[in-house]
Amino acid sequence: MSSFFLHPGIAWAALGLISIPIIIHLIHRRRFRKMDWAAMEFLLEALKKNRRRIRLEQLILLLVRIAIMALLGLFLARPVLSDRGLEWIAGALRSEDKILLLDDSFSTSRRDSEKSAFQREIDALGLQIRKLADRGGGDRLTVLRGSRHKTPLVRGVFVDAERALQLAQTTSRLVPSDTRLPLAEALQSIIETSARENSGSSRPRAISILTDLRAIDWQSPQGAADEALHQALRQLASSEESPTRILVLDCGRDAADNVAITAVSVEGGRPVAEIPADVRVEVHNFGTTVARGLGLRLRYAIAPANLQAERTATSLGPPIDELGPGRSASVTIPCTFRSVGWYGVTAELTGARDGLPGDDNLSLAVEVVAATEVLLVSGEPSSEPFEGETDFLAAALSPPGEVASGVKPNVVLEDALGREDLSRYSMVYVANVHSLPAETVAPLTHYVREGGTLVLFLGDQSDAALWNRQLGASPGRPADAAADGGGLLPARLGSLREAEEPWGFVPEVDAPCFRPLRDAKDLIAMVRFQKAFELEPLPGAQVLARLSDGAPLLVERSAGRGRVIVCASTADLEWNDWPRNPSYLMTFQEITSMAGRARAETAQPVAGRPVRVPVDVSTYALQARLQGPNYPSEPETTITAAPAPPEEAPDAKAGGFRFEIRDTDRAGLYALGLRSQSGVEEWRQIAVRRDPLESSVERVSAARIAELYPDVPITVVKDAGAFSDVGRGGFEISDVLLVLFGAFLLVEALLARLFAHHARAAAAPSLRAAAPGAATIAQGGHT
Amino acid sequence: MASYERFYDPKVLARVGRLELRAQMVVEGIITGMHRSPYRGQSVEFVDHRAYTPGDDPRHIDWKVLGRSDRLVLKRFEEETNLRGHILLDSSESMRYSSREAKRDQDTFTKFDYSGTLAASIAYLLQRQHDGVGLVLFDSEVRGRVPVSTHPGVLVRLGELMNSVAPSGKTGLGAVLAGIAESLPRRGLICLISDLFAPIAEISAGLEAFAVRRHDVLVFHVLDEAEVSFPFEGNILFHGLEGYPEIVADPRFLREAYLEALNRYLAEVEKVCSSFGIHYLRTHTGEPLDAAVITVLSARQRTRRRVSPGSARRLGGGAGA
Repeated sequence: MSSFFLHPGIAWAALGLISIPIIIHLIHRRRFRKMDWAAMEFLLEALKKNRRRIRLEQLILLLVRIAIMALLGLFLARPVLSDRGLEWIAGALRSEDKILLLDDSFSTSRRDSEKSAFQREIDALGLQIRKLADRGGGDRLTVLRGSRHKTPLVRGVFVDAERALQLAQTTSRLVPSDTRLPLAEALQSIIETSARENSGSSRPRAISILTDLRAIDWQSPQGAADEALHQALRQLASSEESPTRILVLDCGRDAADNVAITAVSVEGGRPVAEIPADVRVEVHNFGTTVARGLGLRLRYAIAPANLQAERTATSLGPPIDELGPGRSASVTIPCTFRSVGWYGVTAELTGARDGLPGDDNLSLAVEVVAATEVLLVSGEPSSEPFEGETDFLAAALSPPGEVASGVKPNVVLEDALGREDLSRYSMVYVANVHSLPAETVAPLTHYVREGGTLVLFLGDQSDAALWNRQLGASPGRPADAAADGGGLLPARLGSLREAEEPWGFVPEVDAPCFRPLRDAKDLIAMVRFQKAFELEPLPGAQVLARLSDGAPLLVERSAGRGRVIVCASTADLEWNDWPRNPSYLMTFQEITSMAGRARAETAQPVAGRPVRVPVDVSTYALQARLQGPNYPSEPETTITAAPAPPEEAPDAKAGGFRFEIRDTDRAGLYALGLRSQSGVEEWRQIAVRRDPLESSVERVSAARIAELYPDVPITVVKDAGAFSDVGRGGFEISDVLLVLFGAFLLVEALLARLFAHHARAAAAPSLRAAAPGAATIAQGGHT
Repeated sequence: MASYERFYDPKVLARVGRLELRAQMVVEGIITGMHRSPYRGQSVEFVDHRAYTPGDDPRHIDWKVLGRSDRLVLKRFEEETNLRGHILLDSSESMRYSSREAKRDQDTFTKFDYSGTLAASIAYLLQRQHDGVGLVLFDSEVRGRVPVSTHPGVLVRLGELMNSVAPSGKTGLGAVLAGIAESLPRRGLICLISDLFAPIAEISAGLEAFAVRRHDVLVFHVLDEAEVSFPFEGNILFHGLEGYPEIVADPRFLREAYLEALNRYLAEVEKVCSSFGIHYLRTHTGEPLDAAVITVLSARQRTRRRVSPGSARRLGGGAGA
């Protein structure tokens, strides 16, 4: 950085200013009074003697005056000097606050030919600290990590050799986290701490961000400017009390390749023990080159998974021969969970030779159940086999035989419905019930809204009007299921119809539940319906299947997080022969598994954000053991459940207890060991993942940053050496100039007086000389 | 300032155009002042009296004076007068210098004006004492001459000569003074009025010429006020008189050295004078003229006593006893 003037025009004018004393001097010499003079001899003598001294004195005065003009001009032109080489002046003149933000997001662990970006950041940090220690001065240093921006490593400290050594040791132990860089929030923290600490005093400030310049950190996913970041940047840059410079050190390198596992999920909801489950793994190529020879495998063990080295099972997946840039591949790997309980499943990608191996694995926490429980409410039971209303349904869901379906149907009568704990069931089937008992409507509605699936079969006992009133939307009630106790029905029940010619079965083949039937057209053609209710689908409802005359047969609508399906006909052979058709089994198994998936699907927690696990404190103790992803190399800790504050989950039960795991910087499998009241230890598995965006290799250029945030001056530097020298960039020496200007004025005045003074000090010769013979009046002969 | 002092205040005198009048003012002022001045009681005499010395004829004691002031004085008679006063007035160009510029409320008063006034005053004084007085104007040579005379009209002739000459020419003090000394037949009182801007050697030679002939010499060194104090400021082109070159200088830077040079020269002049036993009085154009004139009076006194010891007996009476 070179020196320059803030007002270059004035700098040129300053040259003109310098000439003023010279011109005055020259003019002065030409202007004189003319005078006759008799005592020339003495004057000549004086002149000869003093010519040199006079010249010197006049020259000195002239130079001083030129200097005064020059200083004035310089002061007005406001020069900015680079502090390279003048650090001691810079430090003495104006110290500033140096705030270094260290990007320890996951992407910085990417290793290029020599080092990882994070390592480069640490090196640059070390260089800057050493420079500060060498320079001395009044600069204060604050260092904070992106993942822990509220708790800086050091805050506002003066750096001497000892402090520098301490810092070097601390920073050498740092490793990148699995989180993103919360740039806007980190900058906001900086603003808040500065506001707290600096009240009153104005210190200039340099904020240096050591980062790998990922596009995701600097712009929104759509590629536009991030509003929160823009706000924070603007606030920093325009602060009046603390003039701020923003610097970015680019420690990343342009990367061409990265392949990562982006998602892992279990198909079909919660897997059932001993039943093979399909685990789907999605792989994405973020890079610009083709990835070849990739392999996938799964490792899984029961919770606490990190401790189960011997009991870890492995399933290999099919290889991925080629994955083009920007493309994804989805691979299904079968695995069988032997026990009931929580499992930790980790998908691993092999053969990806990019610099970022961290995202080549992804963990998932899976709850394995004994079976998927389904509630069947039968309106017309019978002891005769397949005479009961739900017999066929039960058989369809859990066919007898060697291979277990994993579904456990539980049949109850409608009056027993009120006693059931609906949260156990992934689905509730209600078949040919006259009407729902009044006290069951609310729990059922809650069950559906919380993600449950309700399937209603009609029949000869169904009171359509009652159903409409109980569960349907009617005038005066809102059309959706928002209001309690009503609006669950996806369609209005009309009158019963009987076919002259039995109707055929026309499913919507695009509907997900009919996926298995895509290649079973001939099966479907055999189904015949004799009787069915009229259905008027309500707004928002979807018709899943129709009768051959076009009338809706199966209508579905979501309510809250769950959904309701109504079938216009019976679940048994009363009004149709569908139960005899294999498509009956396939359809309802599919619907059941979809339901299971819906309930099991909750968002996977992301590293950096706290994880909350609700707990029923009547069943479990308040304290639980917590093992992190690095267990056993990191020791386990104990956490205590606390009541959830009302703002956390508005529709959760107020005062419900939960465990909060705050430190989730590391991605991976966490195990929570709960102790039940009976003393039995139960382990829950929690899988914290990295933000998938961190795998993106796309970088952002300095030009793009300038485009996105044009009103904020941000300097992007690539060279760590230059970066450390970018201390305060330039510093103004106006203060010094002003002081010098005043000093020179004083000097000029003093010199002028001095030179003139000793001229005046010479005394005029006495006027009356005494000569022998008496100048005074002689006394002569006085008597 | 007492009213009589105004008579010899140069500023006042400058306003008076006529030289004779000026001279009169000076002298009368002095005389008036003497009644009230510290000079009183001392042995300055003027025309009518001289102090009584033992051996004098007591018959000529002025008893009125004794009664009035307890002083023994003798009435003097005209025959006593035999003093010859020669006023040598420098009229070279350097005497033309005046630091006082002609302004509305002041007139220029050059060294020559001052010197002339002094000369005229001295002449008036001597004339009043019935002494003989003459004048020589010179620069590098004699410019004009009024022969010594006791005639009252000599004053007029003095005045005319002085008024007719405008100072010019170079100062010559060696040869011209020697020439003048040679031309004087008898010893007398020499009043040299000059700014003495000449080499010391010349001054010395000139004065020696008089000392050798046993004249009584009074040197009145007249300088301009500004020449003595050098008060100038600002850039000045000094135009040298008597052929000296021009100089442009800032006088503030030169003052100290100038005064040093001047002082050295003045000291040398004094030395020369004292080596010849010559009375030296230095004055400048801002100073009142009384001291100078009074010097003449006392010198006259000395001269008379020395010149004719025998004539002391002749004094005091008309007829020989």
